[in-house]
Amino acid sequence: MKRFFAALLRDKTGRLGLAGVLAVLLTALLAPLIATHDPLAMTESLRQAPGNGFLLGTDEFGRDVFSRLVYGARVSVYVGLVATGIGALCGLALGLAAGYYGGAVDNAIMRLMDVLFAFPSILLALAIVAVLGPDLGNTIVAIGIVRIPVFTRTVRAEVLSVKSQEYIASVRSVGVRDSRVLFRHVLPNVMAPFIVQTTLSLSSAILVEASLSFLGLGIQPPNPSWGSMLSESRRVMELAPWTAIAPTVAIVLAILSFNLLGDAVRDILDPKLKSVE
Amino acid sequence: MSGTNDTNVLSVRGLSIRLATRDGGASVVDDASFDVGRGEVFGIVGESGCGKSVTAYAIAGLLPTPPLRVEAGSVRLGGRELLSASPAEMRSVRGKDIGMIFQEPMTALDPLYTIGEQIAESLEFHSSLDKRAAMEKAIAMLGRVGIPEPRRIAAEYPHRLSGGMLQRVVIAMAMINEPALLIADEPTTALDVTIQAQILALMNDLVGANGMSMVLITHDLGVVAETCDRVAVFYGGHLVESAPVDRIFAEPLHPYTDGLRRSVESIGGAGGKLYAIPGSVPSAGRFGPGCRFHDRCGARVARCGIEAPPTTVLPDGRTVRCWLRGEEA
Amino acid sequence: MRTYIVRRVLLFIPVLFGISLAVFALLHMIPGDAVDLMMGVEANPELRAQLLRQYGMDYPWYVQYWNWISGVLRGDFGVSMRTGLPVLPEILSRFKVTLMLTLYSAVVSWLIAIPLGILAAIKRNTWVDGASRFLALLGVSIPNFALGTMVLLVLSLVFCYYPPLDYTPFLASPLGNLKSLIWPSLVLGAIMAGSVMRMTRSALLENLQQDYVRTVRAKGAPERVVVLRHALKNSLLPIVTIVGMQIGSLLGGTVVTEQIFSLPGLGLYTLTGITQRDYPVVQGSILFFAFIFVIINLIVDILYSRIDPRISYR
Repeated sequence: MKRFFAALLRDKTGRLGLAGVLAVLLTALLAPLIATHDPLAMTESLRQAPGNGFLLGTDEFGRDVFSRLVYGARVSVYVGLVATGIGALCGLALGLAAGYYGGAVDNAIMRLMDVLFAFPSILLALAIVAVLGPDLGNTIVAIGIVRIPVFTRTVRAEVLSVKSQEYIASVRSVGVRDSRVLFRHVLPNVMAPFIVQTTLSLSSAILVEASLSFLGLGIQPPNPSWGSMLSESRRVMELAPWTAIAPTVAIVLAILSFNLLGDAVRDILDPKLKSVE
Repeated sequence: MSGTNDTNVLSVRGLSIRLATRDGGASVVDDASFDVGRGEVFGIVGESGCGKSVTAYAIAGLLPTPPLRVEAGSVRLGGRELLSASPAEMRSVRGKDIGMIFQEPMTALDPLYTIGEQIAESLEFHSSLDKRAAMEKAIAMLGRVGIPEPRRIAAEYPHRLSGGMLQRVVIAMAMINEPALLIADEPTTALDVTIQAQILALMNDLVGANGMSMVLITHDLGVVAETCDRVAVFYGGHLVESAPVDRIFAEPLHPYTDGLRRSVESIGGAGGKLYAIPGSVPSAGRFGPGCRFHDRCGARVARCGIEAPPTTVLPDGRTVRCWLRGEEA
Repeated sequence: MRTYIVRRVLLFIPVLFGISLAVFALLHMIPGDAVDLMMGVEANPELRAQLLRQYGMDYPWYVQYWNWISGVLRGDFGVSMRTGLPVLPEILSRFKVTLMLTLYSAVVSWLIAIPLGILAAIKRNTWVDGASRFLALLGVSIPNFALGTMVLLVLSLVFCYYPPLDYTPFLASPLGNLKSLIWPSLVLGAIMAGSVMRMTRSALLENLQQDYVRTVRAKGAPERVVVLRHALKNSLLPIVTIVGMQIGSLLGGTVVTEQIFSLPGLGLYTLTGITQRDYPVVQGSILFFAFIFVIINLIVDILYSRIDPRISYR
């Protein structure tokens, strides 16, 4: 574990990614302390350029862009983490079951995954949210569900390759219970690609959340979310470009950081997938 | 072995190759010299990692240059210096004056093109034949290397052929432009034993019939005995001994060669243990300044650990690199 | 080969059925249906019953499903509950827009990604490589709506240019069509180029280390031939895979871009249908999307076998 972090810090991509991710996480965590104003408070200074105590200016309702940005980080981080968590855990369970038990179980699960996989992720999340109703919880569920097939496939592939190793057969032949085999022997080997996939999924989850809230299907106004901030800014962006630029930069930096981190983690944990150096 | 003799197809002098590593680098080949005459099959033998393949790559200009680098020496092909040639010049030498055969036939060919296309491609680089003439020549060559139904095989893709057939194709491809020198790097190691014999016989016939010379790299002493006229023994990047095949094992000069002979003979011996040279080969960066074999040598003296012996040329043309034997010259 | 194609299509029919069933069930399970939406919450029960009957919604849901799916098999996707217009012709004409957008974007991305990927592989570990890889990563990290909005912002503020609000179909005027689609295509294409470029680079690098490349060099080939004729062709398989995936997600992801650039595409149609609970529209669109996806996968598989003679479908 310590070696892992050492390797991560040694890699330039890893350092950048880790720095960015930490910045985003801290901003989300410490939002009430960092924000300069109440993100929901409308003031008289409409569409003000940055300055005058408004670090990044104000939007069309006179709300402080900077504070809204900071609270928006909370939404992105919260949704990203929880949704990825849901997807990862369900995918882990399904993948383990499919790979380990094989046969009809495997077939059923994989057909289901195929159906889910057949949809571009945005459309699927969109459909689920639209059906369930746009609010925070449903957004999380939708994004989580969309992520499940990827995890299932990754885990299942790993389980299959581990299963074919001889030592699993020998352990089973001695009569060890299935669940024990799963936990003690199969699971540790599955961990590496699983962790890689988790970090990669985080950035994707943030992207989908932003897209959904851009379309008005995520967290509802007046609560700030980077996507909805961008969407609202379109009405006034020519007069007040900072209202569009700020959320854009935030979104890109956040996703970029998670991607950098994900790449670095992948290079360390799974040399097979390593982008050929 | 005196100076450069122009009747020699290949003349290597003082070749030194270095590998760049994170902690300083290592000498992979140190001061190797040998000649290959016209029509001669010259073997290079040694254990894995002794530098024999690297030498071959350096001759052909195929050394992966960021980590590996030729530090010193001269390689003359038919009197022409290769190490100072430009990349463009080397490209015209490869495939035309030097033909190469590698170890793994199953992965040596591009899976997306047919056999015939890949042989004809070599003609495309070095001659001005049109496509049809090139294909006809390729088919003829396939026949000469013993492939049945050459026309049908030429239209096949590599994955449909067996290892032995593929190696014949590789040989055909290497010879299509009638090079003066063939370099074969462990050509039979990846093949079944029965196929090995066939391929070796084929190579011997072709080389003899066309007056070509061949450098045959192998770790298998049996192959050396069967196929080669002369042989050079490598250990740890040093060329420790070279001699005609029929003499080198009868009267080995270098202690390492003697050790090799003894281990091979102990296999056929009646009962008793297998002989193994005591110790094991250190990795490339770990050699000291002295003779690279000295720590495993039964005959070593103090000097052996301090200074590396020079290559001594004996009156009969044999060479040896050892303080003890060399001084007998 | 032909039998393979037929088999694949046959196998996917059950999946398509499954999808249509799932969508149908989902839509009809949620509380509040289209009629409620149309009439508001406190509605006259009689009027409501009448509307339900009019739309055939007073049957149990499995009967409704059967009615719908048998219509689909005859080519009748029903009519939109909002506009009363038949769904299928609308889907088709809007699909043409989405298709053109997808094709233009794909071409843009190839023109950017493949040369950059080759360059990055050849000049590995130089600044060219590092810069290209960073650009690719950036492409993967910018959401299409963010880039699209920024592009519009820059165009209007800096160049005082506004892309046309009306869409010109290709058959009416190819040039006008290009003008309608050029900016959204550049945006989508640039983003897509990111992942294609990374795949190109890594596939090429891996192939350049293979034995057969060593053989080609040993034949005395110019480096250009080594890279383009041999290594690149062998890299096509993973590249085609990722392009297939990209086109699939492009078709879906155009929703947002269509909204930003006001294009009458299929994505927007679907989105509106979903938010307004316009069942026939949603069911028809999603089924259509799934169908196109199957076709794309099939085309990708056929391309595979064209490129690589080792792949054969018994």
